[in-house]
Amino acid sequence: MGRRLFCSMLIGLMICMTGCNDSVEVSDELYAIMIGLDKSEEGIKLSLILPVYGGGSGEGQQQQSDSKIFTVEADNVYEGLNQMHLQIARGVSLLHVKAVVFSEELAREGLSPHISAIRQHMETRNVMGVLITKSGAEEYLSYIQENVTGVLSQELEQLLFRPRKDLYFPVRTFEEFCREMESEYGQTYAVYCKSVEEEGELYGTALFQGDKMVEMLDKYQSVCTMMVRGEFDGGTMTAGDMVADLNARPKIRFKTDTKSEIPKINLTVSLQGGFMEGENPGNPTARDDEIAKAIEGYFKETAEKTRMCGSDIWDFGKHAARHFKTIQDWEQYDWNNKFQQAEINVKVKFKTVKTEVNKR
Amino acid sequence: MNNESALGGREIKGLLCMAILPKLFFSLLPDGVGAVGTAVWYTQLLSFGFSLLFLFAMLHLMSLYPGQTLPKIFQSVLGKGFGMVLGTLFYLYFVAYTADHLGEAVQLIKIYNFPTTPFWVFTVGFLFVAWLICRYGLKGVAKSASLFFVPVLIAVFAALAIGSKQYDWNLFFPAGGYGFIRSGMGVLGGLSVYVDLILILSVVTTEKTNLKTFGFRGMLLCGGAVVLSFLGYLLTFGYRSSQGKTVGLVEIVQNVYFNQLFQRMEAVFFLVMVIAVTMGTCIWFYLTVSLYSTIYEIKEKRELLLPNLLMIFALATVSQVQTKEFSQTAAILFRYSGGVLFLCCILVWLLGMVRKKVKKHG
Repeated sequence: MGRRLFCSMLIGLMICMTGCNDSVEVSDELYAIMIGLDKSEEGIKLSLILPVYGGGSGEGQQQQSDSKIFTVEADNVYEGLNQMHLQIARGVSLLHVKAVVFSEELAREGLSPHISAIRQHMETRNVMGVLITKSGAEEYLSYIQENVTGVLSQELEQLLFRPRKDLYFPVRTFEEFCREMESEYGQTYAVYCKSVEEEGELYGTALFQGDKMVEMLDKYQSVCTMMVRGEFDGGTMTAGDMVADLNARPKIRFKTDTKSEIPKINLTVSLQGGFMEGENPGNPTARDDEIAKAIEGYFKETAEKTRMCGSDIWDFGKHAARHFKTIQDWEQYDWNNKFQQAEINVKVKFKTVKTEVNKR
Repeated sequence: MNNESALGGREIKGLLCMAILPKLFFSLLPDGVGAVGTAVWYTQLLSFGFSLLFLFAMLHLMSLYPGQTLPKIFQSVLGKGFGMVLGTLFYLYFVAYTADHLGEAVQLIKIYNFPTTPFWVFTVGFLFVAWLICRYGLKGVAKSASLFFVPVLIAVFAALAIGSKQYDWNLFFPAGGYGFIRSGMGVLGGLSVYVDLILILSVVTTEKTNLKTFGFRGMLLCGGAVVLSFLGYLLTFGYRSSQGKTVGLVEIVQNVYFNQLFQRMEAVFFLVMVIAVTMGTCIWFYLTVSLYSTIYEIKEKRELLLPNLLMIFALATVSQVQTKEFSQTAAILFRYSGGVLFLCCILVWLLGMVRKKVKKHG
């Protein structure tokens, strides 16, 4: 009797614990590839790129993926997603979203309400890209969809997350973007895309103060940011009449002083690489100084830009926090406000070494 | 069920690890970092140090009363009546503790994997497995724990190693956390992580098992994993972003991106979490039943399994329908009650020493 009871309970358990209750057939859902958010009269305009399922074309099957853009206007993201479910016969899943795109107009108004809705959604992933586009998000999604040369999801992932070699925009995941938005150490930033008329190029960095976009950095200013944050894997930079080929991650040294009312920050950047134009092998050190000065110029203008808009994205705050004993002292100091008055000194050193370009 | 014979080193280490480590998959890490901020790693280190001292104090107490487990020693030191009352309070605490942890685990599984599956399915599943293993007594539970603790321990360290990609060492600062008082409370709260020590000492005696050596080694493994997990969590999220998170260790892995193929590894760690929780529930449940049977001198523990099972099921179910305020209060109570239990045991130890000295001189 005991054994029978045991066996029947075991069988019952096997039936209950297989997860059938929550199972969803892949063909029952459409897995969104990109989310786009624009401002609209009603509140927001939510756009999703969804794949189009169809039979394979057999021989010579296209590598290009078919997809369609669905757009709804709603009060908020939750409502938008619900409305989306009313439009589409299949369920919409956000499990495999690769990137979320916000229009610059919406970003300048503040992203907090939209971000928290996406973050709290049980299906969204933390590792997806965050883009701010100069044109509307829906427009940008259409542009991406039309101009993709292969499988959209793969291409997006390659574009947003491959190593930062010769790329002039930072790596930014959704989790990092949200985490730094609520940070006391500094401000957040995202990848900035030019408008569709300008070919939708991923051009630089959108700076934020709190949840509002305040400014943008161009490509070399973004490179400076990537260098300071340790994300830069090498690439070329025009420095005066030369092109510097930076072949390694720079050495960064910070020194922050928070004793006085105005914080003082000293940043030393040691770069190495080759140069391609106007190379003078007879006296390379003389050229080193010229390149260093030109790159220092980029650093200085970036530092000034971030300081003016109170957006510390170079992690100065994290170094300044070392001077405080407790979190209360640190929060009372109010770094994000103090940063706007900070005195930032930048020193760039450049050393010529043999690079692949020089060897040629 | 009555085969409480000697336990080996692997079994003691297994019992300790499988009772303590499942908590790393719950809200222990975010709550801990949220409570003491950047001071979390050294407050946890201090808590671990105090827990080791507690272990040695209890071993000393057990050497004063040879052949007796903690509930019996309570009765010898405090008198039968008061010892039974204290033992019963401990028992009630551990029933609530088991139910709370089980409820939290099931809630996490529901949120992240099976949102529409009813709560009772998982609760019954976990308790059924616990009941099956508990039928084989302490030896069965310890053997199962010794089988699973190495993979779980490896998974914990693997999660921390994978997560190291996103560690930011600047998040250590400001190093003083929220100040001396909150850090002190953090040390007290940190003791709750090791409260399972009391459960193990309530069942295992020092006569047949080398608790000093094996217990110390087991605690070193657990303490290392716990302190490093807190450190990893702080370095990943910082003191501000840790608040409001739920799945501890899994969350560290969730955010890691290596390349197109090596990402979203949290599913593997959810599986580890389920294994750890299954084993943890089994240990908490069995030791709680053993505690009760020792207090009331009930020899046939098997008879106690079903009533306790039902009680834990009922409490775990209640924990799902309670209000937010109630669950927050319960979380705070659980965070600091470990320290209170430790304090009670220390008082019994001091009283036990005094009584022995008086007896010796008298």
